[in-house]
Amino acid sequence: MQLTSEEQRRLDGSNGEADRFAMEFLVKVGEFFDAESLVDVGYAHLIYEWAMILPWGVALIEDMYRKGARFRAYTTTNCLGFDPQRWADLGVEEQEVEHQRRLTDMVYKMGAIGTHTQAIALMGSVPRFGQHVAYTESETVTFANSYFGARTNLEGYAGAFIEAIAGKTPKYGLHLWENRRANVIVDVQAPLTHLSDWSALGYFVGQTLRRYDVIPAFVNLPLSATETQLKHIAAALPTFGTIAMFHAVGITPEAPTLQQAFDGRKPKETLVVQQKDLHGVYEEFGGSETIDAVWIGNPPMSVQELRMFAELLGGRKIRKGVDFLLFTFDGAKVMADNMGITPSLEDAGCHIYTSACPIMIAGNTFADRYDGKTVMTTDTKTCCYGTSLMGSQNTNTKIVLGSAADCVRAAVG
Amino acid sequence: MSTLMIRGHKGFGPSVEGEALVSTDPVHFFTDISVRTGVGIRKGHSLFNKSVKGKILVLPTPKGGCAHAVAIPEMVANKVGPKALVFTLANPVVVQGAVLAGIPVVDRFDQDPLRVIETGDWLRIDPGRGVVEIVKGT
Repeated sequence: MQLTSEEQRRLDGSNGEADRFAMEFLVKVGEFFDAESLVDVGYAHLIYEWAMILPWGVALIEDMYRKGARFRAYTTTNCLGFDPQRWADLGVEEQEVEHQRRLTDMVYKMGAIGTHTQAIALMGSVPRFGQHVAYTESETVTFANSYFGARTNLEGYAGAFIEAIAGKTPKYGLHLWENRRANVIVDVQAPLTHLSDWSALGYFVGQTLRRYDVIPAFVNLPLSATETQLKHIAAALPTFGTIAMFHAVGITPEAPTLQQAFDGRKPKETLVVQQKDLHGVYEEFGGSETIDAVWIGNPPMSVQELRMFAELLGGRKIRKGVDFLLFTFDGAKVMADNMGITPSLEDAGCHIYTSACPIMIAGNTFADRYDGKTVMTTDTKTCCYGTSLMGSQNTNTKIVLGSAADCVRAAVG
Repeated sequence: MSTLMIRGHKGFGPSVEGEALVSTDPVHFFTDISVRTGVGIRKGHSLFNKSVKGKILVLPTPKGGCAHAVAIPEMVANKVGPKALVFTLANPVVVQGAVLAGIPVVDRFDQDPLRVIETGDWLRIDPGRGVVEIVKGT
């Protein structure tokens, strides 16, 4: 790898131990992937949720903080394991809140801002087309690469943290156009009626293709596709697969035409997605009509989605004994409050949280509360990771997939 | 006792040798393997109830997720981690995890390691040359 003289000096320790460690990490990872150089990153995005990053991750943050490390990149934060304003409702233990608060203080002092969501573009951190960034969190990464045409690999929790400090990342993988070119055509023949259908589509494609070097180009998606709809693909596509980027011809910025998306590459295959394929996803995550809870929140709900639920509820009340939990981010919540959407949802019996997502909580609080219960959600990411995390705690929770209308129907019944 | 060799891309880490543990299922370090015990915890997974401690893991492309970068060093810090990682195709997250844990990782072989290596084989890994020597039937 070719380093600039300044990078070499930093690697030699001219800027202190924390920086030296960060540079050494970049060089080792970069060499594995044949990176020819490092590249500056303007933005970074962190996961620093106390339970998820494990004691090792906590120790890394503490160690770097103590050594005086600060973030060179403009650094945002992903959702936490609980809503910091409403944590008692979620049954989180005060001790955990305190652990998280300590970490939050440190990352703020290091220069991060408390976006506490995947929806960072809706909270003021907008990468430019072609800009190199260092993001972790599969949906945030996939959305940045695909929707904005920014460039990031799917960084690990620790990788993004170290790169935010270094302000650099090795130039490999999705930082290079040659690796961003499409190599599979996904022909969408299935109608996409509900928002959950977009999630099912992303999941089906991700599970069928699943390799980090697969870059699907979706054709026949409606040109009216919204940011919310495309975000559902971005959230579902990487689920347990490692795909971190997609094109949507005529929609995403690197794919004005199919030819430009492929730019000389030959398609390895054409995957046709039909209605039966999406039905198959609903069946895979199918279940009983009787539910104990609804969790909506991956991707974090936009204000449009909050409004959609308020309209679907139409003044009806959630049945006693059913928890209807909606997870959004601070920006959407403020708008929802001001637009009267929040009171409408709360009158119906919904609970609205920010800065958390069902998956983060599934590994923790919900494991006990929903053991043996059935939960309905509108996204496949929650179905997968939620089930997986709760399963790894030996709890038995069934998470089923439904449209927003299905969720409301099952909850007011 | 026969010896085979497969050649991969130049990897990371020191030369090591050890016993192979093969998983035909993609692995998520954290939800498939306990970071506390190093034992597979997912029913139905090919590593269920098996200990990765001190083994050279031979794996398909890892499952998606960003946790491997902390889960792998966590396992190694808990002294239950694998000795080395051999992937058909690694990804940035597991490589970051291996680098931070200081354990060898190699991928991109001329043959599919999952077809050639069996659990119990003795492996000698030289990441600098990208070579894995396999002593079968140990």
